[in-house]
Amino acid sequence: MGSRAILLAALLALWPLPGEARGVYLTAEEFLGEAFPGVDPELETLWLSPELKQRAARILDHPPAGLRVRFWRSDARTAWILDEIGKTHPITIGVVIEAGVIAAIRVLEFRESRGDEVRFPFFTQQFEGAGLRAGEALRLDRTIDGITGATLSVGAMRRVARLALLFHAEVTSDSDS
Amino acid sequence: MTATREQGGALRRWHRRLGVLAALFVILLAFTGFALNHAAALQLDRLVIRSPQILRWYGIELPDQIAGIAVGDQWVSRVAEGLFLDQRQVATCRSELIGAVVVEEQLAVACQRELLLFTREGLLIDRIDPTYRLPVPVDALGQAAEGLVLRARGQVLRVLPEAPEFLALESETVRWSQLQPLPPPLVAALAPFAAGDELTLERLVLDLHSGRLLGVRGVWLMDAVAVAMVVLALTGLVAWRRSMR
Repeated sequence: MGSRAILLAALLALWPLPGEARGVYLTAEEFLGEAFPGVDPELETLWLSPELKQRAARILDHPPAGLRVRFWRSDARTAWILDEIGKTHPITIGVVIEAGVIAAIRVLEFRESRGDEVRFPFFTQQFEGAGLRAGEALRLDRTIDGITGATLSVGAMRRVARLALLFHAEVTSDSDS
Repeated sequence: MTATREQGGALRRWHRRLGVLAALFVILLAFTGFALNHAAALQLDRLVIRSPQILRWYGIELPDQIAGIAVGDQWVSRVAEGLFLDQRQVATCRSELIGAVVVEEQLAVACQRELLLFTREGLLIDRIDPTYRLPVPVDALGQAAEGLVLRARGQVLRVLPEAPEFLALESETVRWSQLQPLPPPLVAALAPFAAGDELTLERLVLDLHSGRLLGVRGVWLMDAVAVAMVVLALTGLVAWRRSMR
């Protein structure tokens, strides 16, 4: 009887409960602390010109929400916190970029009921060092392996990575000129 | 010999009757099955059902009252997670609607954990949340001589949305925005959105395919159709074998 109870408890513990993927995995403060260790970055604003909106829409397959985007900058490093829908709910994703390539990408908040495997390092580490390929397609310069059962979340992560790289190029080209 | 011929005739008669009876369901199953096989390509999972009749069929209760805020000659309201300007969804808001005001040709909408700024035409400019130092929960939004004002954690603060910054307010005269019931025609138009985005055309087609649209009886009906199709196949085979003899 005792061993049956233990077996039942173990099965219940392993049973995937709906909604368990949802949650805040990193606060904005924690993300910025990781992105800019020991530095207080400046909060800045990027206004989206019609042309930039068009390029962003090409990445997202829908127009970006809002006429402006806020980001943090310290020297050549920028950090972006962007929302993108996986299946039905937005995933809040933080991207750190330096010298035109991704330094880190993190899931801050996941609101879908499944697909949260995208927050694990085995997946996010694939983006480190990735930049945008030259050309109008605005593709990543490397292949990001998908995750079975998390296709839509993987898609959202890829799109946000490309969008942050596009925005970074825009704000750094402004400062270069 | 005559008995065998009679048996064959009866078999064909029943095969025909059953075939006619099942034909309608076979067509339904074929069409819905085809649609389900190509649900992603047809974007059935993205087409949300908004028909009040179908939503009620699923037992979804629609609200008969919705609270909103009058801004000029327009209404701002929140239904499920959608933020509406009159009947048009202009953004999402993941927490309760608190207030809306027009200040300096911009429409500011406060939810408990977000402050959204729009152009007067309803184009989203910006979304400010605790990531950008918004004190939460916001419990009132209004305007004073100094501009946009909010109340949060017992403090009345002036909002400078560009920075964004939240400064202690000296003025004591604040006109706070108030929630009030939406006009009935607007409630009727927005009520179906209260069901959220869960009921999609894919779900409807799936329930039609399985019979679940009619509840347990529908499932039994589809089971009977499946049995009828097996019987049709068997009687057809038997009839074919006899005709070969």
